[in-house]
Amino acid sequence: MEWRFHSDAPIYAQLVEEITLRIVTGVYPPGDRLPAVRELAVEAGVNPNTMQRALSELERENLVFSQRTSGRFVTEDREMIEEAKKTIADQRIRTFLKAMDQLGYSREEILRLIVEEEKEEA
Amino acid sequence: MLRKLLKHEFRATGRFMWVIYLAMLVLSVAANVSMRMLDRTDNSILNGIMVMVLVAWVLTLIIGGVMITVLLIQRFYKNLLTDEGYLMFTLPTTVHHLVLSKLIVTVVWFLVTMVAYVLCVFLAVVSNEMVRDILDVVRSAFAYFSLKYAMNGVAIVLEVLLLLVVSTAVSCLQFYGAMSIGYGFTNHKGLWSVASYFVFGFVLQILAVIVTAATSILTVPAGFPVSLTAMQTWHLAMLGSTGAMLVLGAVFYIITVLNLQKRLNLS
Amino acid sequence: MAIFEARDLSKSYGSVPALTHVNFSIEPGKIVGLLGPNGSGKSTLIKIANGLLTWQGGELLIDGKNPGPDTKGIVSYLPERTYLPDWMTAKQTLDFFSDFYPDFRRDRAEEMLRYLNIPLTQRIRQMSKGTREKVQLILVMSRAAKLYLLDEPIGGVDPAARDYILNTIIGNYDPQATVVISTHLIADVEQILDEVIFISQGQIVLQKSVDEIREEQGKSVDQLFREVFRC
Repeated sequence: MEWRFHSDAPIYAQLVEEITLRIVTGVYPPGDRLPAVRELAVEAGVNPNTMQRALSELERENLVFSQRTSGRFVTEDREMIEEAKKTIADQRIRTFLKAMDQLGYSREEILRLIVEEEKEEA
Repeated sequence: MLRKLLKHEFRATGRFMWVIYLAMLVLSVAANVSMRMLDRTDNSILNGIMVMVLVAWVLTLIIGGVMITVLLIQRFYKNLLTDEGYLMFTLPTTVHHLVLSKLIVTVVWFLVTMVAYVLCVFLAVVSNEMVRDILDVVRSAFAYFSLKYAMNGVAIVLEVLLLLVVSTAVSCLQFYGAMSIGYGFTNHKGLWSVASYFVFGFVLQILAVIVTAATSILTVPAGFPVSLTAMQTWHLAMLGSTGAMLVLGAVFYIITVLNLQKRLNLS
Repeated sequence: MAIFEARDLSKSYGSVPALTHVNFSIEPGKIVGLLGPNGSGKSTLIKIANGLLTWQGGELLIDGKNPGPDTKGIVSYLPERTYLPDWMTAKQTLDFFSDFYPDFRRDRAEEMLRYLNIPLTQRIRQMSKGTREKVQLILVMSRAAKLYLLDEPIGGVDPAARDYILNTIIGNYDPQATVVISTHLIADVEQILDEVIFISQGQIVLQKSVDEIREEQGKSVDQLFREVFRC
């Protein structure tokens, strides 16, 4: 996985997205300790202040919590993680549907295309 | 900070100085060997070689001296007025320290060079009888002068040395001042430096004329009450010259520092 | 107190104005980009901050003082050019910095040189341009200074070196310290900046946080720069 940024949203917001994705896909497993801010910042190629802001945001969303001397940890609340996963899934579906609408497909046609694609893959 | 700058200066200049001194000393020994051989053989080829060695020796001493002078002046330019200036002028030290460190090191190398020259000549002509003879001559000369003219030999040597050191410093500062002025300009920095140097020289000439005229007028007035002994005249002349040099040096120093502080313009 | 500020600062080279009534204030703890086209006055501003140039009007303050021997002790400067004497070895440059700067962390510098496989006995003049620039960057960033002034740190280097340089800046970053990067290569540095200052023809055009620009204008700093400085 790579850290990639686009230009029209604040970087900290994009960091929040990327780290959430990593939590949801198990790259950062539940209960695991996250790398230090500086390390993450260097890995992502961003200002440590920005990374700090992103992590604080994730703390607010309760996906991450910090223990004063030991650092930051991914939540162990699997329901929370599932919820975050669902939110990302919903976003992606909406994006997909918007793209397909642009092509002019109706909802039935879209479902049929999906079933066909699934058969081909099997 | 000044001590650190001095250490760094000696390190930076020392690396080429010792090479030159080594060459001079080696050739002095070669000259010594040469001259002994010249006495012993009549073979014209060998004689030719020996003469060439002697010539090489003299050339080395002269060229060595010139190179040392040029290198030390160029050191100021390279270290403060080129890209290295970005390093030196952002050190947590003052412009005074930067200039003084260069000046002190140059004067020290000058004195070392004088000693080196004496050593070279000595090495070139030394033989056992000579050492004894020289020492005898020096000792009797000192005694003679002390007795005959009530001259304090030590004082003379010290005054001459002092004048020499101060003159060297002033010549050095004349170069520094000229370069500092020249490199404050955006264009034609080299030309401005050379021009400043000659303007300084010109002003010095005029001052010398004025001072000479003034002194001769002062020493022969009708009602001049005191007549001085030879020794006192000597002291007056030496200390007067040294004092004048010090004033000149101060002027050049101030010109240098002010230009570096206010008009520094590293490209 | 602002670590680096200018109040109505003006500077001319003879009759040619370089900076005109420049005002800005940088708080400690930020990584700030000083962005502007060539000839906009960036270098002049940085030279003044380093005590290399005098100015005619207004004032410039580093940690509340005018540039001088005191401020030089807390400012770590990386100029655009090679300023190390070319006869020195890498080790001698470490000695030099250790001697003159009490805040120099020699162990860190040695570690970085080791990591890059730069032998301590190699002379500056024997190094390639890229290596020279990395050595200078290592020396500058190994000081525990309050203010780092980096003049075009990534200009003229290959992308891999660029990454190394930016990572060194981030990795050595002390939250109490301030880093000012003067550059015209914005896209590469944007993501490490907290704030940007746009400068054009000797005048400050804007000073804003990067997040503000992205949120308010929906564009990156790079895009905004292209708009503002469109030829």
